[in-house]
Amino acid sequence: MAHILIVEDEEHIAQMIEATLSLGGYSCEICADGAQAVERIFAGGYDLVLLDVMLPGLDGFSVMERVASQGTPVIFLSAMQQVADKVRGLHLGAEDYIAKPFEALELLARVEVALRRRGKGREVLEYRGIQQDLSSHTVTLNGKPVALSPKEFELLRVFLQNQDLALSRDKLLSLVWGYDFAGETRTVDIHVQRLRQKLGLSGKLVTLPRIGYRLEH
Amino acid sequence: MKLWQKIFLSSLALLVLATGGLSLLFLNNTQTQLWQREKQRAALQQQSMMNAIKTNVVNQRLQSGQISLNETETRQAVRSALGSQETDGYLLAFQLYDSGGEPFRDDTTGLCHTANLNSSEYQDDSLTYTRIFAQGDRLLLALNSPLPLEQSEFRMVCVFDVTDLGAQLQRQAATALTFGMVVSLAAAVVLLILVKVQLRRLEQLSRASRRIAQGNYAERVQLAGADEVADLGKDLNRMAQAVQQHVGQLEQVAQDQKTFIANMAHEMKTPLTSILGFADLLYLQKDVPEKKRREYAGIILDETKRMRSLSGKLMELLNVGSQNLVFTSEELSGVIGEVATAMQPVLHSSRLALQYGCEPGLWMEMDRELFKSLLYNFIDNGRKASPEGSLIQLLAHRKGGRIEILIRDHGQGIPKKELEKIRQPFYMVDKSRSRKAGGAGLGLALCEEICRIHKGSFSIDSRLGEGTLITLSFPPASPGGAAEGGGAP
Repeated sequence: MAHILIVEDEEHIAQMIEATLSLGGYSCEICADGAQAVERIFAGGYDLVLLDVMLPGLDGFSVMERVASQGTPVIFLSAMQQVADKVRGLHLGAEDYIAKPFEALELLARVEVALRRRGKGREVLEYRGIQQDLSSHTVTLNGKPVALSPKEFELLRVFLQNQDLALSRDKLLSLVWGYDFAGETRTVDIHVQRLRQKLGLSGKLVTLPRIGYRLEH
Repeated sequence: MKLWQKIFLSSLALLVLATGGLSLLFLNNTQTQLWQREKQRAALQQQSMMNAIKTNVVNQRLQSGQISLNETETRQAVRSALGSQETDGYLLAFQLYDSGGEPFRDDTTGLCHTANLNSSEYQDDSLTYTRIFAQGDRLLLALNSPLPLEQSEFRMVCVFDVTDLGAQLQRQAATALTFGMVVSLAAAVVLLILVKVQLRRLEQLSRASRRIAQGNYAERVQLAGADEVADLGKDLNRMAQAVQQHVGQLEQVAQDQKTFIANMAHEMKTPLTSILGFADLLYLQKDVPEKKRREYAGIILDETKRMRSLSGKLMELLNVGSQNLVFTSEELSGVIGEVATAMQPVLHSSRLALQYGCEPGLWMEMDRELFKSLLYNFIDNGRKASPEGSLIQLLAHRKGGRIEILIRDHGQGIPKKELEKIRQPFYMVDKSRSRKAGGAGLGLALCEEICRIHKGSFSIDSRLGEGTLITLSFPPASPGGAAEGGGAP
């Protein structure tokens, strides 16, 4: 289980991030001061750092300059959305730059991606008899391989990583097909049907009327 | 039509008319004189011929020894007298007519007949008739004069060749008119060049104006000379200066507004992040434990209230100038006393002491409630910055014709580099502390607005670790007068 450091001075926001990360199955710690964060990062033990830019005293960018050499992946969080800031953050060596406010799933997805890139993500997802290996890109049902199209594979991943969460069609569309996809949500319905059939998920991958879908425990 | 074309054409027309008119007048004059002389010359020659004939006839009478000749004898004498007369290069033809209009000789040229001066119209005996007519390419002058001889009346017609004179006159006219046109044209061209040289400066002005209009407000024009056009240039520069200033001001205002809105949007993002996050957490999960549900919902409520407060303060800031304000003349010591009394409980709970005082007889035009809220604001800032046991001072006195109000605290102070920025809306020196206390960074912006409405201002003097001194300055009012007012000055 990945361990994440949250550097954020606004108490409510820090709590919110912690609750969100717990949902994703991660353990976390909170730090409200830039200088302290630098010390703790160097002390080690974190798989990822979520770093707010607006901190009292030492600001986020300054913290990044100091810890970049340490090697722990960092994701910036900020209300500032200007391209210049994003570029600066990424140039300093951050993995990603997320603009506030953000939705829970968006945060989880980006955390997942950042961890995977550093080889610290969960490579194998399990759900009852299903095993999805993200590195070898294979899916097995009770040991037997199942053939899935690329989009079906991604859709399965999203469901397995977000179990028991209500996922709207639009959300699924953007998570799997990308934000630029101009197609209809019917695509999602068709793919969900296929997953149900191929993996015998009809009972557990439930339809939430007018909302979307949920893969239940 | 362009100005230079107008000037050129109108000056040319004028000059042509003037020179043409003058030439014609002059020509007319000389030509008349010349004709006059020619006629005299012809008349003289005719006269001498007539005298010769007369002499001849008289001689014949004398030779005959009679007192006068009779008709036939006269005719005889005339005929022979005529015979001795000759034409020459000038006098082309002559004829003598009797009173019945019958000619006496053979005029081989036929010119006298052509001259047609012998009709009955021309038979007033005492007058000489002249006629100028053309024949072929010759110009001819015919004279018909009375010639009384012995007892009878005769008329002498002479035709002279005046072609030369005619040609000369024509040449004269042509020369004068041509000369006139050439001079006119030359003068017009010279005038045109002079005008164009002056117009060049107008073109400079025109170009400069165009560049300014395109947005280059720093552009100025430098014109040579000290005449009206140069003055126009100076005026243009003055105008450009004014435009540049105003544009600068407008741009500044627009920039300030942009900054305000950006800051406002940014301030809203913080509560929104919590609201969105927790709402999403409640929405996504199938079963949320009761404790967590209350926690999340509670935070959503808190942050929403925070946004409500922010929105309220913003409206206050935006509207403070346009509320219905009532300005009255107030005695300051009374106002200060009320403020101090109202702040006592709050300061007491923060374990702070308040020292206050006001010079007697100080009056000020104010909206009482709004002004009090100004003082509350500053005192509260002092309270938030001061440690327990500290002192806050509120004093008012006269200084140099104005009313000065001092609010001093001995709290943590403000770093020098922050001093300029703290009046900006939304700016907070220590964000987390301000937000915890429910602030949004609008307090000082609001105070500035209230001061402006009261025609005053404030300055901040602060030292880290020692405290802050706020100095307010307002114009005094005359005692007792109550001003009625609605709306901001």
